[in-house]
Amino acid sequence: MAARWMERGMLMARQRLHFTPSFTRLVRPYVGPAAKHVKDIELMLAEPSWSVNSLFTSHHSPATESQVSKKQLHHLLRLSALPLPANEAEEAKMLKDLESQLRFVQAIQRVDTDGVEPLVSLRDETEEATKESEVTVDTLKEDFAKETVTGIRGRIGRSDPAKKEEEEDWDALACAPKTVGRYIALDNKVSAP
Amino acid sequence: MSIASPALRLRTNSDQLLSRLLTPLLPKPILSWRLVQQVPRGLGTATLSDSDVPYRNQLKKEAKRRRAVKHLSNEETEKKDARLEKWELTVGIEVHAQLNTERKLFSRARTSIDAEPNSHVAVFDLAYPGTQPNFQKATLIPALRAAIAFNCTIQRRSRFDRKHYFYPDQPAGYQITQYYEPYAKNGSIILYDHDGIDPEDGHSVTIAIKQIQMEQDTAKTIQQDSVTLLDFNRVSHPLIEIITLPQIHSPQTAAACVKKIQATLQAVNAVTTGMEMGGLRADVNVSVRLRDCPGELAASSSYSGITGLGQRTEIKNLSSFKAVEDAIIAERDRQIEVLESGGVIEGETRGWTLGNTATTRLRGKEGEVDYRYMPDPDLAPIIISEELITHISDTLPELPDTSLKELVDDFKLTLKDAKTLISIDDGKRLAYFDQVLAGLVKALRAEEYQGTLEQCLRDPSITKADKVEYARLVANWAIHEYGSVTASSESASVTAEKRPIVLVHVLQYLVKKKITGQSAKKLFLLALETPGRPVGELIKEENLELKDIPRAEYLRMAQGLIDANQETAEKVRKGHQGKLMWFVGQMMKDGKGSIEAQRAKEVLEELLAVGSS
Repeated sequence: MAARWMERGMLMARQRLHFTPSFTRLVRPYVGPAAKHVKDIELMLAEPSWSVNSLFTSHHSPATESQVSKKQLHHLLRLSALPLPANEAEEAKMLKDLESQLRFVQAIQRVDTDGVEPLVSLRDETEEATKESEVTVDTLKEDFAKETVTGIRGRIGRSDPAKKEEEEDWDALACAPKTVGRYIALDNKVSAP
Repeated sequence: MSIASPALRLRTNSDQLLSRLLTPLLPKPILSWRLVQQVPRGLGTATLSDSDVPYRNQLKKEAKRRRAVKHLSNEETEKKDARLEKWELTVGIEVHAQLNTERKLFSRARTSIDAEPNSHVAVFDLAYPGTQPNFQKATLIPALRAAIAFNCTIQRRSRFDRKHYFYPDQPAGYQITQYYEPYAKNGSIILYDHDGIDPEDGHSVTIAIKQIQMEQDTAKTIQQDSVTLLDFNRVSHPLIEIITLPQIHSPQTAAACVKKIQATLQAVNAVTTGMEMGGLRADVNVSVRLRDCPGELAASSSYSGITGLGQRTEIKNLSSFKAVEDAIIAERDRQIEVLESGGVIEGETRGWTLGNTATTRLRGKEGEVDYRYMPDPDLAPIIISEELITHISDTLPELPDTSLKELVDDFKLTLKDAKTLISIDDGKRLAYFDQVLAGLVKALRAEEYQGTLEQCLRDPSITKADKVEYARLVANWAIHEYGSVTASSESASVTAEKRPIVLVHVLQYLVKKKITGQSAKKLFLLALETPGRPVGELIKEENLELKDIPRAEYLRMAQGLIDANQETAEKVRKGHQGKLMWFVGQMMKDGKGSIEAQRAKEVLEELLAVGSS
């Protein structure tokens, strides 16, 4: 089962991605059931076909030219709820790292994805599976059964309150570092994480 | 292919930055944070608001306003505000409504309103690492009812996305919402003059609804001096966000729109409480532009596909209809002021507190890019069957517009009474009216009727034509006398709603002229307070039965009153109608419920020669 899934995932990934020539060269060719001979595999593994490093270096924007301003860095840190740099050296280091990460992302962005539907997650997308996950009147029959309809205007109400299930059966405050009564409490000023 | 693959996790210190910006894969409990001056994003906590003003007062005000406008001459209208002639206001509305569901959006924890803090929480609701969302399909029922009530096209396939921001009321670091593929699109809502729209909008105006999306509510926060208290009972309560196109051009119409959205949601049982209880909250976006502006002066902003608008600002967390109207007026005037003095409107989020005359800046508006929306990989798309849409559509409760039409056009109720019946007690009073009306028709036909009122409602032999005759009488009792008995007696208020049959019996005796109107009121209260006693028995016991008082007795009483009140009598002779009714009142009082008002009036008119001189 797991094998079938993997295979399907790879297949889907291939169907979705039309690699640009430059990127294709970086990617190890897909080895399907056709590769029967151990020798072929050994041969293929003998030499590295690409390296992560290539993604960090080869780009139109030279590594010296800054793509991210200090202001942008601070904005991004704020959005991410991360601490601002303590000093200039730390700031420079952050900018340098971010630059290199950006180049990596840009390498991925250069893949031509025109007309490709993004893959959000791996799921069974077969017709049967889609049909199975469809929400129908029958799926919700127990919920409809709890409703009451009164009067001539179709007014809807609900009979009994919902029953407690085990998902609620734990102490939500158990791991809270600080509580006030039944509330979880946060200090209004805390040191940066 | 998602870039959020573990293989791409990097190594340095700023990995954190990249991973938080781009790959928020695992929910992390963010329990430490820096206090940013921000509006809480959840629905506001319950506050007392202007909507607590009794509903009928509000209706009266609306009617008064309508009359006032009618009398305004053209000249006066022109003088109203020259600036508004020059500048056009444009408003779009977002309404967040708490869905009426048993459980949360992504866990089996129950929804609650006033429960003990943090008592209805699943581990996922606190974003414990490794926990997975479990979409509760039943939440689709109220969501679909709302979307169908607003004429939306239901998307057979929709999806959930993550909207990232850090705030302690939302422990995952993102809110799960529907950004790319909402479940409902392209709806509309029609606002009529009786909904309280601006008279300049004419008889009716249609506002397009761009989309409705499902999303999570946030936790309730309580700010104290040094700490913030968090109650996660509300976190992940299912919400819908209804987004209108910017097609509203008047503050009054905007308020009417929110009001009607609430009434519609309540009618189809999509929500449990209204704005006054915090179950609904509105955000408005406001912009102004010159009405006639050729060429380079033309406003250039656009959103939701509407172009040529001025720069807009957003006012968040409005928790009453009046706040919606007042906040828009204040923001409109502020923007015109800024623009006329040569300034520029900044895209920003502003706040409004009731009683204020101006909006205040809260924060610069985040660009949508700052929320780093991404499809939630943990949640499968929602696929809704055609059959489910049809079923919900076919069983949708009657919408307020339809009820109103029947009450006014067929039953000849006044607009005010019809609107009151529909809106008070969350629709229950209208159901009460229906039951009493059908029951009365049946009771007047057969002396001994054994069926239930619910059966009566479905009795095909009772036609609309049968009901019309008594509709105004029943409406009058269902609104006014119901109101006064429940106000005057605690025990009656408990039973009135549950025992419509009591009113059927009381009205039955009244219509047959077995009792006077005055006795009927007394009887109604008495019967509610003493359950189990047949109304007929009470009439005998309390001696309420209308005795056939001879005309001579009427004449004697009337003459006695006239003799004792010569001056007043003289006024009546001179045509003072009000004083005549005073005499009628006195006679009824003296008669202790045995005097019929109409007969008393006739006798008095005769003795005082009213109308003959």
